[in-house]
Amino acid sequence: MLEQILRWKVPLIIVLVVVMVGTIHYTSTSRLTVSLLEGIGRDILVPFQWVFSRVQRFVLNQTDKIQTLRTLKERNAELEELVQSLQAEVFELRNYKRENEWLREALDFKNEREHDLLVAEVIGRSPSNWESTIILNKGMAHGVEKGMAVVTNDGVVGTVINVSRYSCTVLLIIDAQSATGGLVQATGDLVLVEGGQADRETLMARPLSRDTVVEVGDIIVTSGLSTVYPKNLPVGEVVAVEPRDYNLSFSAVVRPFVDFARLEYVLIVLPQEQRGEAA
Amino acid sequence: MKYVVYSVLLLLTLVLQTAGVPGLVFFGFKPELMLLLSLIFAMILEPGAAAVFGFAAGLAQDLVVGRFIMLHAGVFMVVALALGYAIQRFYRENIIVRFIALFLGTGLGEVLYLLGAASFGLSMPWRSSTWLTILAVSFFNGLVGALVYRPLSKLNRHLIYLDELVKRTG
Repeated sequence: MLEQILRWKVPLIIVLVVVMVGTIHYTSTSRLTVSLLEGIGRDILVPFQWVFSRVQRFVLNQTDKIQTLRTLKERNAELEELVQSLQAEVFELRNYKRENEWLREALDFKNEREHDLLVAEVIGRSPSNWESTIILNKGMAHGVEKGMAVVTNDGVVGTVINVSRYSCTVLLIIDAQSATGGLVQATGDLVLVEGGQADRETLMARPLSRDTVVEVGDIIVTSGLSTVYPKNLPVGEVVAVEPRDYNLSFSAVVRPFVDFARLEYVLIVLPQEQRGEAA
Repeated sequence: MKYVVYSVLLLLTLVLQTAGVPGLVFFGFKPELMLLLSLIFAMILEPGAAAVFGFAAGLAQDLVVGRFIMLHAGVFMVVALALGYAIQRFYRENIIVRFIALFLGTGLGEVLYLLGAASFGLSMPWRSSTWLTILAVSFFNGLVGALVYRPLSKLNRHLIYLDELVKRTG
């Protein structure tokens, strides 16, 4: 019996290794759809992750509330001051709005929205230290497809890399595999914004031409040259400029506007025709 | 009975590991709980069974990650098998032995994963921060695992007893 098992052991190990290497190789590149097993596995996890993230959020909120109570009086005084200044600002903005509407009408301005947004909740994160991904509670059933951009009010979050029926995985722009076309808002120069920084919090912007000028404090927005991100979405602010290649080039360290550690809700950018189906 | 409990343990650990906001993050790194569970069971089970357990844990993690599927499975299996054989030569009830075993096992697992991913195209530079993360994760796993080993070992003994009882009484 033992001899029989041993006889089959070596071929079995060889088959196992071949299957494993083949699967790793096949899944190392970008895939259009997830496999049936992956889809089932992820959809089983969705309700558990949803419940767990809700519990976690509740605990964090309660902790925040307790901390807030301590500084309530001070904050109240600060906020009263802020309200007064904001009221003056609102009054000014109303004037601008009226003026803007008048100008739009005068210029026959077409306010067309090219994209619609689908709100999704972050229910999970990558289990590994070596990937920066999040899991959202929206999937194929809601009209989500691979390659769609994910944003928040603060700026760019990432792109959908794979979708199951009720969830999708988003590759964050801080991941080592991420590269986004960017634009220096002040000058209009093109840059390539890459993730994979050592701190996993910042991005690296590399110039696409020799004449590119980037300074600390510059705002980087999406260039809109790719089909993934709409144009002019805020990416981050340049916090440092480092020389490269014997001062012949440079790279800029960009701090993203989005706080990736505290993402709760995000917006998936849908083409307009899909919004109706998703709703 | 024990297989059901093992599956529930794996599922709960995976949910905990992939928790939403802000996630399970300590000082900028995530503890590798699935690897930790595989290593603890490598010290509890026979090497062969530990390898199967590690493979299942790694595969579950791979299905969630969606990239390099079978890499975690392979790495967890190899590390669990290696630790399963290695720990037989030492007195695993000693907390320091457990800490060192889990520390080294986690470090080996992380390095093997990065080497595997790099050979399939993941551009992860070997910077000091990479080594620091591996060190921190290994230390965390060593510390937590050394403490969690006892209750899990007791649970496993209880499960074996229950299974045996069911088998004998029919």
